[in-house]
Amino acid sequence: MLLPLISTTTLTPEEFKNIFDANFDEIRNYIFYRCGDKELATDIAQESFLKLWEKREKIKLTNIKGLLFKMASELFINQYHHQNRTRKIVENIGFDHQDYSPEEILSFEQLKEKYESLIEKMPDNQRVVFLMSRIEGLQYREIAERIGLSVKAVEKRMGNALNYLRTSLISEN
Amino acid sequence: MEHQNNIKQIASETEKLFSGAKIEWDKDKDSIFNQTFATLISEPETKVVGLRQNMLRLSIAASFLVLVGIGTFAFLFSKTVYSPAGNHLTAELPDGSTVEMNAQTTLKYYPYRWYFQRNVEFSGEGYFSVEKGKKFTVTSTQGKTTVLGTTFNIFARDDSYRVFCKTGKVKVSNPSGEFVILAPNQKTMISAGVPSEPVFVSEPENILSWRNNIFLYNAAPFTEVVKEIERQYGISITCENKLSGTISVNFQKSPNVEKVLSMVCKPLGYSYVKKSDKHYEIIKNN
Repeated sequence: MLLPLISTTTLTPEEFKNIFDANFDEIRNYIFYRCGDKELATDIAQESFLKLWEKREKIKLTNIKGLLFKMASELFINQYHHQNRTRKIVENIGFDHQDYSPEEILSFEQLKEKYESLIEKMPDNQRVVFLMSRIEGLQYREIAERIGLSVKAVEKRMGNALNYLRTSLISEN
Repeated sequence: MEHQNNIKQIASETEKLFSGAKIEWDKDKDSIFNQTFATLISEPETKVVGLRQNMLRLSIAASFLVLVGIGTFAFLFSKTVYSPAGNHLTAELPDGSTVEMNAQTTLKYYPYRWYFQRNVEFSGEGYFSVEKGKKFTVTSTQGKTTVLGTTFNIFARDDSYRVFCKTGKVKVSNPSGEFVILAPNQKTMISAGVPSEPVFVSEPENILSWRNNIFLYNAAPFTEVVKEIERQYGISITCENKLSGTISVNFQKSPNVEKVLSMVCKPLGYSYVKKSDKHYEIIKNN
């Protein structure tokens, strides 16, 4: 009975371009947070949009961001099961240090050393939320919208991520 | 308390760590769009059809073609029976009807259409024995004969079209549709394009005697008799001048063509010369 109410449309090239511009970087970052592999993240993001274009005739415009994240996540899971890649997340992130003083650079390097391996070993679902918040500065509401969770669940994962770091730091010392 | 402090410290430390963090991609969004998607989305509607669906469509198309092919073949497939000069032959049709064919006679029919349409194309002379059933049609260039189940004789050569009905009822029509209906022992001919009124035949054996190799003519044109001799013996007969006159004669096909030739030539003041094994010439006596 509900089916006729869900209206689907065909994407025009212009609409597709707009959707691409609004979502491509976010999707690519998301996959990067999960695997730490820039090439794989780019591939999967591209493939997600190819899939979207193939399905352009039966598209529900209401939650296209959610759809893209879901497609990317599924593609990632399918590929990741084939290939066992090492996650060098922090190492693969670039940092803008131009106006850092030598002391600041030193303290940054210390921080990096302290957290690098911990973040790489952090459980996937916590790391995604943690890095979205830290690197892209996203609100919990925005994160929730992207990965299809409630705001409460995002808060919980964020708390778990910090807890994980705390216990890991204690056990290391 | 200490727990809370730790958390706060970690939060501020990681914030500091990641401030200024930027993932450096080899290719930015715009160049990826231009490389991969710009041409793709500007292509005219080409449907990406799944292989499965494609195979399904292909196999439907293929089986359709095969069916059409078989249908066309069955529709167009014809059988031709030809009885050459000097020969008699009996053809049997799919429903058991038979046609006794005189020399130089052609019969063509469509075996796979037979049960929908009993239709034969015919030229020459033949005696038809048609099994009872659907309408049976014999088409020649000169006319058309339609029956249900009867026996009848057709003579369809050159300009002549003559039909004799032995049993049952026979409808004879010209190509424009004018027709007469023959009762048993009646005959008609299409002369000047119109079927003539049925005529009662008192001695039907005269018409059907060819089946027993007996040829009976009653005031028949000499040329017609000569042509019949050519057909029966598979020879060619030429003549210097146009042959004229009518003849009443009967002969039995014997092994000796010269006997028959002398029999028909003498009464009209002609004689014949043997040119070669299969070639005779008729000349007028002075």
